[in-house]
Amino acid sequence: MAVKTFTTNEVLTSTDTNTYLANAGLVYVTSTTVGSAVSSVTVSNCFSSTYDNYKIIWSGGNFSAGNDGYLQLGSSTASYAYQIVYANFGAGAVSTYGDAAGANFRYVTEGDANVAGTNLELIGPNLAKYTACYSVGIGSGVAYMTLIGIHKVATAYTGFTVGPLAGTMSGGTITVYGYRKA
Amino acid sequence: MTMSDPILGTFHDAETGETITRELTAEEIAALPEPAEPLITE
Repeated sequence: MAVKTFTTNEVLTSTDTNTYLANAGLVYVTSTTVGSAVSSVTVSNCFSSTYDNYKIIWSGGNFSAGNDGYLQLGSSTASYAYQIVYANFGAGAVSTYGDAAGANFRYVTEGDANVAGTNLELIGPNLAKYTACYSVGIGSGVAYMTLIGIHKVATAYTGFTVGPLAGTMSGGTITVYGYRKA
Repeated sequence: MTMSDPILGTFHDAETGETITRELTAEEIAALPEPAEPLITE
């Protein structure tokens, strides 16, 4: 439904209300609570043809110790090209790191025992094309990191897995939203 | 975590809404990324 402009004293019908609720720009798809001391979280059947692009937020959780967090599409463990920019809080300079053919999108977060989380976007994970990833890692109280990456496999995926590169993750909520197409 | 601790994973199916946390299978453990040191240390 295209954007509609309501006028003064116009009756707001249930049809219009329901349509606008259903067609918000950013639409909730699913969410899950992360278990205690788990090595990974797999969310399946969250990507479909309903949306091309997605936002994923993990908040309220932590790692067992300081480490990097990764994201993997489906069961694919190759061809993740990415570059990150990171800096310690208070530092005047930033550093960079990258991998042209990683096993996952490493560094979608940087967490520790206090906090870990991420705010990331996936462009076209359910399309049979390369998938792009943009993320801001939230956590550690020590540093931030941003990642831009591309998964160079032209496959449509329906789910993803996240986790720390070592140790475990606990708590918080992972929520998936889809961007309305029209 | 010690060597004897079970390796757990959370699994959520967006279609059914079901979330479970269970011990990973040997195949799932083998599919985990290689442990690595963090890029940034405290």
